[in-house]
Amino acid sequence: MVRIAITKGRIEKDTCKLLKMSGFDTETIENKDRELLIKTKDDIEMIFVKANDVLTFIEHGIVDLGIVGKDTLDESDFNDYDELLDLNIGKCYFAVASYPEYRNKKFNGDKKIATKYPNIAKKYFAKKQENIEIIKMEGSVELGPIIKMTDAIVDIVETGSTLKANRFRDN
Amino acid sequence: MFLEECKYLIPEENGGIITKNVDNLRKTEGVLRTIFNEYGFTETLTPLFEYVELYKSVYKDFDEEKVFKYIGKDGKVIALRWDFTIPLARHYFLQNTNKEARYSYFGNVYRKERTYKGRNSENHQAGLELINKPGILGDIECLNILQHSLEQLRLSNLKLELGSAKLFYRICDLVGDKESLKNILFKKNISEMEKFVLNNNNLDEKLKKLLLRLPRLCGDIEMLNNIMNNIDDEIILDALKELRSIYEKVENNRNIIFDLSMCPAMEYYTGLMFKVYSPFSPEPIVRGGRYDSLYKNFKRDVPAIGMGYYLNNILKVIEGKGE
Repeated sequence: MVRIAITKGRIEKDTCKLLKMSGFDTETIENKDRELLIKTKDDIEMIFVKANDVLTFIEHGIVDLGIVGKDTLDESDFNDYDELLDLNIGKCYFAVASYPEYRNKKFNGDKKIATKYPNIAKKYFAKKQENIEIIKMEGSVELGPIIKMTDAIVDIVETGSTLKANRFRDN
Repeated sequence: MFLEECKYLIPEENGGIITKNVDNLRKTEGVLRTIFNEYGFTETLTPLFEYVELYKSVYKDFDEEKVFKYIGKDGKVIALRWDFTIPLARHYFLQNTNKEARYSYFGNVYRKERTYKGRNSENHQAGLELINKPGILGDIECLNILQHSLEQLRLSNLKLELGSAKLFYRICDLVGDKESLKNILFKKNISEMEKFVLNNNNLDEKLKKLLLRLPRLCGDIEMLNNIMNNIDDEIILDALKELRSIYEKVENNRNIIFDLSMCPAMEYYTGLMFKVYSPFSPEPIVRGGRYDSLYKNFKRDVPAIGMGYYLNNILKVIEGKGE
């Protein structure tokens, strides 16, 4: 038996398609309700969890495989895993985004950045020889500039529609 | 408020061995001590306090953030014991001898781990260093002790995985880009390897084929034999032959598998590298390898091989088995 931890949501759906295409049974996954642990006819056990928990389960040897985004791997300081294959699903890129004024604005002190990815954000700005103040958020980080708590956000962008809806520009 | 809570809380760094598993810990140590003694190893106990500079002088990419340290009386930075290998190398050097030496050790090492991940920063270790016994004879002595000890510990379903630093460094030489290759192999990253081979189109075709297969070259002696039929490069072939002949000469090889993409965890590994895995521990329970260039840091050329038993992981295995 193989046990796999899969990131809930978009990655879960795309993985399911890949499994189906490769001839695996996905019936139990498609028909699952709120179950967290599913067994398929191919003797695969799957657990559906939040991205960071995929890493925790790998780290503790609870699962044999995990399917998780590169953003989560890069943000985590856990390094002791094999990163076997890029499945080419859920493609996104990282962006610094804010209102169009941000680009030409002069800053007196450190920029304030709202993000779910403090490590990645810090590294990016350090490369540009900038120190920043990070406000870590869990949900819609776009709120940072909207409520004027931060100057910009660092986040992953897939289609850019959220940025557009808030009149943000990706820098 | 905190003062009151402190009475009941233990800092995250704790070793997690308090009562119920002390018995298992001491029994395990006892088994290992008996075997190490039988094979003629002298038990040592290196200091708990060392200069951080000692480790920095040997480990090129020493991660100081993981060290517990303080400023000593002399104003220099002192580390809590991070490993036994380096202090024992120094000890051997101070003996000013060219003889074979056999040292064993039992004690704690201290490495800061991330919090709330079920990892301890205080780790119980046992291990040995076999100094100045070069080549395959030293390797086999070490593996025989290992296999003997694993039998005595009665842990089932173990896998002893062998790799070769010689193989790794030769492939790096042929490719020329050691850093990229190491990052790819360390993660067994099939996708990145495909990109790497595409971007390095000038490489020899046979080498490219090997590189593409390398992240998956984990398996038994049959896998090793198959690969050897397809290799021309003499140094690679030598490294693989060495692995095979170790396999043939070790007293018990039933649990041996090979990982040809194993990367040297420490820069100083030069030959055989090995790890022991159990289904009940996500991390290896034993790690070891040959490091013939370590002593160069002490301006000596002395071959050595050593291994460390990660007792906290072994305890997890004993608990996991429900014994």
